[in-house]
Amino acid sequence: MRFFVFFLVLFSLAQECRGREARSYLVSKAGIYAQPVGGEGWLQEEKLIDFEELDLVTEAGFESRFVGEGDELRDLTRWAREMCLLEEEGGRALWNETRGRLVVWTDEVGHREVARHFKQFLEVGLKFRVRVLKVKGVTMAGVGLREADLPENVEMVGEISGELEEGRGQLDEGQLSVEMDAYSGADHVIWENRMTLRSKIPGAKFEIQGGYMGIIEEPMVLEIGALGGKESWVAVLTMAGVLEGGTPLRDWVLDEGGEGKWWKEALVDSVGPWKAPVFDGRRVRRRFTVPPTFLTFIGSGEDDPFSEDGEKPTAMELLKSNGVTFREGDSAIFYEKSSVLEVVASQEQMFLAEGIISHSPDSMMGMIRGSFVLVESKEKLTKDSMVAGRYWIREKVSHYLLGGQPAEIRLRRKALLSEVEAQVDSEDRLVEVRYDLVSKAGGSLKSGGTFEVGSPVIVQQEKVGSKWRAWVLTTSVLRLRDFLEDGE
Amino acid sequence: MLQVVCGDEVRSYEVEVELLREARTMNLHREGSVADPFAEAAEIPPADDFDLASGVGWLGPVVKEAGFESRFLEGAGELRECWRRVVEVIGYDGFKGKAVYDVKNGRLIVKGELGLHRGLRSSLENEMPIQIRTTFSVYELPGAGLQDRSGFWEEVPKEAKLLRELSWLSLPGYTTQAGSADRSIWAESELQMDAYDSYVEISGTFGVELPEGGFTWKTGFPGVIGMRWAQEVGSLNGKTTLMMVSQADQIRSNGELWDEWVLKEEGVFMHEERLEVIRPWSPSKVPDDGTVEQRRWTVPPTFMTFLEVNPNPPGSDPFAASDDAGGKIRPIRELLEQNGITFREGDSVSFLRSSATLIARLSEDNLKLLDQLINAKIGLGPPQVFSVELAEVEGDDFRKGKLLRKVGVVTRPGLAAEVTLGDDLAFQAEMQTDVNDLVEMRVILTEQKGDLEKASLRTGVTLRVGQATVLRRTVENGKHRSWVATVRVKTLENEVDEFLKQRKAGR
Repeated sequence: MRFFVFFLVLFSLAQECRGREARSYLVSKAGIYAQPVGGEGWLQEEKLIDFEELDLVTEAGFESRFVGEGDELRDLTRWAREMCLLEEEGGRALWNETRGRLVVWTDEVGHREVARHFKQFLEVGLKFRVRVLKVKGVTMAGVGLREADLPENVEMVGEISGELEEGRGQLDEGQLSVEMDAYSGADHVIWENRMTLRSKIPGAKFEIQGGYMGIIEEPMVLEIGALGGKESWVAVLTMAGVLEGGTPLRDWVLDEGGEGKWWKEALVDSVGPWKAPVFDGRRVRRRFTVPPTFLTFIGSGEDDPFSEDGEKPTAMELLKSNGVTFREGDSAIFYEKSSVLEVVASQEQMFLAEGIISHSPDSMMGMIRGSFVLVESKEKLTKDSMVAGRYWIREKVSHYLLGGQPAEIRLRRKALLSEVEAQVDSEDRLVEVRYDLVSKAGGSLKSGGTFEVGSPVIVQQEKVGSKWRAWVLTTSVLRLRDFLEDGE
Repeated sequence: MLQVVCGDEVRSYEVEVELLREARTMNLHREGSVADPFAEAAEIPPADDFDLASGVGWLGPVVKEAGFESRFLEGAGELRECWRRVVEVIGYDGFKGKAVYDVKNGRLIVKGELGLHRGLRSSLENEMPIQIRTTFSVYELPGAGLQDRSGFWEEVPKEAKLLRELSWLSLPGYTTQAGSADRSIWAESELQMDAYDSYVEISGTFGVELPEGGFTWKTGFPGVIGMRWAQEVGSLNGKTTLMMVSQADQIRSNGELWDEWVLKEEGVFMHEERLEVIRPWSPSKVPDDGTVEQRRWTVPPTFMTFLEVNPNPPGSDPFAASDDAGGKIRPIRELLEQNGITFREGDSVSFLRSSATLIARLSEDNLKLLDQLINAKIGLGPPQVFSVELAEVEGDDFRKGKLLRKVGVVTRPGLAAEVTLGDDLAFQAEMQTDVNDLVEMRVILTEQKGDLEKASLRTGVTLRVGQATVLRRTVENGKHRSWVATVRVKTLENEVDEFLKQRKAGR
């Protein structure tokens, strides 16, 4: 017995050294399909695995809260090695028929690949919650994206929440109404939407329309604007993801300790700073949803489409003609029904293939904020008088913008109307903005410019009696990584 | 006349490390010295190897001293040596100098010869987006008459009263609409800059509402960047004159004035330099003692190609590969000689590609010829401000009569400019010029609700520039009334010259 305990402890320690742990995945069986033999061509659709043919196992081979006594387990290890590149030694994948979940015992890399494979088959429903707040005071800098950064003196004046059906929803609750199109991004960590929010709340009447981006379940603060310079109107938008049966999206993967490791890893992967890829020669599998005519686009054009043999080049041949090298055991299959190109290749070659397919997961994860502040002064405003603070704020409107998407804000019917569109350069240094601003107090301006991020720039100024009034535009780039605790 | 002054000087450039890197990268691409992107085993540089804010990892090491003296070093923070980066940005390693980057203040401090500074400035400015702040002000001046009151205003005259002002920021080539909250001043305009960032051409409609009667202008006119130009709009009462004052300033993307991003030890100099470039070169100022004179022109970077005489002779294949794989560049002197410029012993010419500057030491006649050649080759006529003023004068002799009212507008040849003043007065004028100071003008004047369909005068005339001419004369109850037209043409380079002379005299 002592020996048994000793070896058990040793075994556990060895496992810890490998960093393996069990995680439970709520997966769609649509993701459990067979790797086609010699597959390098065109297929209609994936051939699903017949679970009845899988071996029944009585022992999981590892200790986990996700495997209970008497649970019916079917062995998917061999399949997971092929499809999710599960480690050859030690890794295990079991289908727990009793609990309807996939249980995988592997290291962090293995779990990432498993999650990466199955998240493509998740059917995520989205819920929204919008709270409208009044915040005392109006500042040039404005409020941050995180709710935790809001000052304490806030007053909630309205709330609306609802669920989207197939990514769309419309809800009118009198004082607040929302129209929204939304989807969760490829990683199911980020959401993106197009939203119209109307408020008829006395003292906070506005309408905002635009595209926004945020992190699932993270409340995001959107400063809307201010009329009068005493208080700002703010909307706090939270988007939550739910799976069939009401399981919160975050719980589709559970780790042994219940620490939400998957979520933290996925969050850093999705919104963390870009890291140069590390190539260690591993083979990876990636699925790309492409336009149905995609393979024609990447063809060399030299093939005669009317050739008598009528054979069209395979996906692998087309990728090869674009410079991708395949080793023995690699594959490239195009599933015509779902228009999915599935490639198995080394990491280096996958990097190249991603470039050809124009799959750019590293597009800007965040938004551009353009804040127009109407200030008044006893003197003609210059950069120096701005720095010295010799002005007071009369109005403000803040746009949160996705590159190239227009946004509109209307404050108190027609007191202030603004339409803005912006693009940021690759260095996050300059923002090009086109704007159309009409304000009862501040006049009108339809123009455009290129602005240094963070620098307040006077875009219009007029003399009103003995005073001077100016619109000052400040742009900033709000990265979703600001939501991460340490920015890393 | 500009003389090239040799010797090192220190200049301070307000520039971020990111912009320096960008300019350097662009230069590498331009020079074709960047590594083959398709080469195998291309190394992806780790993103966190350098810190753009501080320049660590990209600029040189921290140094205790810059190795030269300058006022820009007072109050400087951490200094990083960066001469190598400056050379890369310019793309030429023949200069000698020193450079440090003041991390705290975000300034590059460089000691070197003038050519180095010109090259550095030009390389960096290539990467800086340009935008313009247009300011449109309306002043009231006491008095009204037939005399010319237009010109540059260095300072606003003490007697001038500011009635309205509106300024806005815009990109060249972009139509902008701007208006005050009460719509008492508004504009819809578009502007273009010339290739040398010296002049702007503004087109649009401008309007002002005033209790005593406002005006609108629908027209186009040129301006000098950084200079305030005052133009008479007219007078509704014959006692005061409304002046439309316009100014276009080049603005950086951080909202700062463009002309202040590079400083000399003595301070701001770029505006002065801009004006000196505009200022005409006058042969009459050259002492007629046969001495060799030198002059500098800023020309388009592709200027040399304009000088090619018959680059593709008839029958030659314009698409044929060049004998020289790199494309043969012919000496500037050879190109000028082909164009008829004669060089004596001791004469010289050089073309600085980095700053697109042509410097020539030639005889007076040949300098004049070269000046004409440059203007002809690059299609430059000096921008001119054309204006038309119509004044109603009571009296037998309009020169001595009483001015009742007056209305004017700036315009350009071939453009039908329109102006309204007050509730009733309006005119439309279109002119064509010839070389003999004569202007052919078609004019429609109305005195009824500004409605040009109800014209009180519709005519076509030929006028001499600057000479007041009666277009219509009436006698009612023994009183003579005349509408008098005056066309003025002002060449901006002459105006700049005059402005600089007056300023010098004032000092």
